[in-house]
Amino acid sequence: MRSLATLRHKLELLEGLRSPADSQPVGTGVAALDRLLPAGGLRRGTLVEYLAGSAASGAGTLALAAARVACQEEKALVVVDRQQCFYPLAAAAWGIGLSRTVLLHPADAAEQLWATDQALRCPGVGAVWLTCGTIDDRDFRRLQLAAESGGTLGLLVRSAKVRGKPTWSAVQWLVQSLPSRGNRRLSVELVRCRGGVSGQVRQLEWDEARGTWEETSDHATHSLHPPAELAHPTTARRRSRA
Amino acid sequence: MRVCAPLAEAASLASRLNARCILPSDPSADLAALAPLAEHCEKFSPLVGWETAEGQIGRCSSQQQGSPDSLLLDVTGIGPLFHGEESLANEVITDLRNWGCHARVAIAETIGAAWALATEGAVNPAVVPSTRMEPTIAPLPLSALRLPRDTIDLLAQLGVVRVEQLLHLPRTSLPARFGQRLLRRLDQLLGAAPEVIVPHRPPAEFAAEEVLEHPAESREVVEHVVRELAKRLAAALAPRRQGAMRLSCRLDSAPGRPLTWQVGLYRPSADPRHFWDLLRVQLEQTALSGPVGRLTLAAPLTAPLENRQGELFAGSSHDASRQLDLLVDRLSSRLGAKAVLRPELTADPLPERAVRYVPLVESGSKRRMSKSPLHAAAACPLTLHSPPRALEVVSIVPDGPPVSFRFGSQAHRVACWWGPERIETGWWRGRSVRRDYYRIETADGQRLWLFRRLEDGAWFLHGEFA
Repeated sequence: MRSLATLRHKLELLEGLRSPADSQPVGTGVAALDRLLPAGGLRRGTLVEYLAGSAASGAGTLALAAARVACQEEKALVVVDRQQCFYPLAAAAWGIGLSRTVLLHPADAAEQLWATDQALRCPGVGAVWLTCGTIDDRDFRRLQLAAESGGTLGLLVRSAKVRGKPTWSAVQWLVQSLPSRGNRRLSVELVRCRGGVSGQVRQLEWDEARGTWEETSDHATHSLHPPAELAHPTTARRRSRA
Repeated sequence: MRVCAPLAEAASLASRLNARCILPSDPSADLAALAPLAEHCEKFSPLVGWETAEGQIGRCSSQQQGSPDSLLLDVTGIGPLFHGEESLANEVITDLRNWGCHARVAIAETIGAAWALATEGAVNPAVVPSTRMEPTIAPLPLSALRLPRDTIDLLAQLGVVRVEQLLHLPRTSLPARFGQRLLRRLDQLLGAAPEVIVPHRPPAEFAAEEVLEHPAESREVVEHVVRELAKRLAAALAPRRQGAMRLSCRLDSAPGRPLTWQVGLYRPSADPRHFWDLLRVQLEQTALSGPVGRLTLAAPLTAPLENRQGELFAGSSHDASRQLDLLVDRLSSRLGAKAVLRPELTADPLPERAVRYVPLVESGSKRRMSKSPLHAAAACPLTLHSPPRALEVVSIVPDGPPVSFRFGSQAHRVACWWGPERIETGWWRGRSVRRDYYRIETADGQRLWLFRRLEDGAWFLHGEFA
């Protein structure tokens, strides 16, 4: 077990990541998702993508849960909102202090990129939350370097259409909504994670009483993982390698 | 035209002048239009204003504050720079014609005489040397004297209509009948009483200026000079323990209008590098209209600098919060102060008014405690459409919940709904708003926030639980 950790550490160093020892992992805000990640959480100085399977799927909400954890200790949350539709009341309801929230309304894509870059570079910022579509490869790399130099967490909420495209993010989640008829249910897939096992799926249900997302193992309403995937072991293997 | 004239009078005047429309008098708008003109005229004189120390000059009487209608330029000793006062006056007229104004210009020994000649004189421009002042002014009508209307009317009843007639009257008997004001105006006209121009904007206490001998066209030179000015400004601020809260930078170029911009700061600062950081993002975005001859950097708004105790071990938390302040300044400078906001919760029940956005810059760094949110976390949408998007909704019961709806090209079936939550605003808030909000879940599990407008039963999508 110990040798496995050493190997993983070496591999991360080869991949150009900073040593995991120099930063405490930040929780995703959901215990079940933390368990999927090799470090036990997200790392500061990286980008994390939340791919929304459809509109109103819950990806933004999960990203906000991670932002809440990353913005403790008086760090600021920067919300880059080009569409001007982010509703701060929801952020407050999810437990984010609005006095340490900076809301940006950039006018165009160039300003959005510049503002995100600047915010990621700032050590006083805990997390940057933004919705974005396609990003140019060089710009993406620029954002990743900015996050690394500032030690901030970049939370990118994007459409699932960008799945499979080249990315500079360390972790990529795919969030899909599940029919629930009660408390809200989500299915979250770890699409990509450096040093972790990708392709794992967890189902989450909002626990109103405790105020947390809890893992459920109710396979009756399990709509993901169609049996066809098992019938094609090649695709399953390819996906786990991606 | 005069202030408080009946509309019929205005209409008859308008038809004579072929005017298209009649607008109500708006002194503040007039002033707002005059201010850039005054700024423009600064290239002719170091002191430009529209007021004297006594108050506004113009046709309006002292009780009736109208809008100023003339600009005063102190051109003492300026004539030779423009090859004589005649050509200076002509240049002002041509220059203002390019601006779109027809200007009447007069240069005289006193403010009173210049104003009289500009408004009532026969020639334009009128340049009167001090030796010829009295004979030039004497035939002018009394309205050139900046007197209240009733004084002029009273004098006209007595047969006094021109300045020279007034000058022949015995000086001692005038105040008893027409007030002290008449004598003062006469003295100001002839230079016996002093009169001072109030500059249209007070000179900033902290400013740095550089006049280039050869106007610079290259951007690097301009940037270099601005950086030098930032250093000089910071050097002036720091010993007084003052920090700039607002920076205003102005580049005068010979042919075009001067480039000006204002940068607000989140927290007072006297750091030249920080100034330069903020100015650079502005400078990068503007195109220089021509060679720049004069550069001015001022701090019109300052506040005491915060004292910071040096820390033995660089405190990470303090450093981080300082970094955040610098970030806010940089963002506000490039994106504009209205794009860098702090949300504040209000007690308003209407969702779109439940949050107030406060620009971070110049609102000060004081942080108000926000009210605690009224909603449970799962009941509040993460995105809010503004304005709400219209939907085609089918519901079985007339006032009941939605069953299915069409949004865009897609049809959605409502699997589950929560509500309604009724939101109404009071009549005192203008148009009253009455809505029934439903939280719905579609068959795919998407959660949306819809409402029905109670007035006409129309449905809207207001938010998404993204």
